[in-house]
Amino acid sequence: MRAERVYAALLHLYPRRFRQRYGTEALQTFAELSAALHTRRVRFWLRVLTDLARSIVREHIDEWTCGDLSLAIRWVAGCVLGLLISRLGVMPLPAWARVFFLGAALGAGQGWALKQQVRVASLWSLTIGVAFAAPAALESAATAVFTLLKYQPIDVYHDDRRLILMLDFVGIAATCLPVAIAQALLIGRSQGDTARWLRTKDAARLIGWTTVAMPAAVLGARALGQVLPFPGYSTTLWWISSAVIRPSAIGTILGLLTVRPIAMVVGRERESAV
Amino acid sequence: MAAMTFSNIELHVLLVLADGPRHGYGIMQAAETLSNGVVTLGPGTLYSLIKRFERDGLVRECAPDAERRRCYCLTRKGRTHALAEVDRLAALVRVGKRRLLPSES
Repeated sequence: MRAERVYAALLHLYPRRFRQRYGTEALQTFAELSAALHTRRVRFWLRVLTDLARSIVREHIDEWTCGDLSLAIRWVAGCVLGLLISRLGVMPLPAWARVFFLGAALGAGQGWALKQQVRVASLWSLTIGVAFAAPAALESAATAVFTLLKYQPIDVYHDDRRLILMLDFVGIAATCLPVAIAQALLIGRSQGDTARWLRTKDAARLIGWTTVAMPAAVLGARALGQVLPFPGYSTTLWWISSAVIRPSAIGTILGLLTVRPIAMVVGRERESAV
Repeated sequence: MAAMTFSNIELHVLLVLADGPRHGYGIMQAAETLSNGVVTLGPGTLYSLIKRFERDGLVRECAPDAERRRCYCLTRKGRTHALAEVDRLAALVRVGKRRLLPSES
């Protein structure tokens, strides 16, 4: 009975849905196995614990990717690839064009990951690019208007790290919100009834996660860079860091954070097609 | 029909269920016997497999046994895919024997 109590507690390490569906049965099977191997306790616990370690990891990955691991790998790779490509064209362009290029490249990577047709993937890429560029273009326009009106916005200098972090987060999230809405509109379009789909939990989840994922990815990558400083300053290392490591880290974090809502939507599409 | 490939453990579970409905512990025991002790499943791996098989439509839940334990059985789709995998392995065994064993001539 004590072994069963221990196993019942360990079952809480599985994702909730798995536990609710199979938890009671797993516990019953465990009890039967325990009774059958009561003379070989060490062997029994070794078998159970290795089984737990393997299946808990597998179930959490399965839960996060909605059972579509290949989509998840393609999605993360698409995000990384998009951000890496976007680094190639950033140097001489104005801010709004740089972010357009970033968004378009990210969209192209995502379109490839979702195995979309060329027309849909191009539309996806273009929409993400425009959505990304919109806040930067607005900021440029506002600056031009301020200059015209000779208005000097108040620039408050502060050194509160938490405040700076929060402002960075909010700033990037504001840039990502149009991207999230654009993604939701594109998926809504593929579902037929866009307005109806936008009112679903899936759409809210997709918009919420995408808005939060990009600032989390950028700030996460920045924190990673601070934890792992380069030994001494070197132009080559700086280039590798800014052109390869940083976009790869941001792409990986972004991909991992946004794959679940995408996998849920794509999985449902596949089920309805069947 | 898109081909599915199965791992050693997955195929053993499908072959066990081909005999008829079984409950969780029954599947574990039968898989161990069928593989001469090579395939030893734990409850976590077993229900993880059953979950995926149910999702892919290869296995479904059927009437509980006399002790009210949940039982699972193979669907027609599951049987077809398991048979295709066994055929694939049989072809591989034939090729392997032809290449590895000395020819009779």
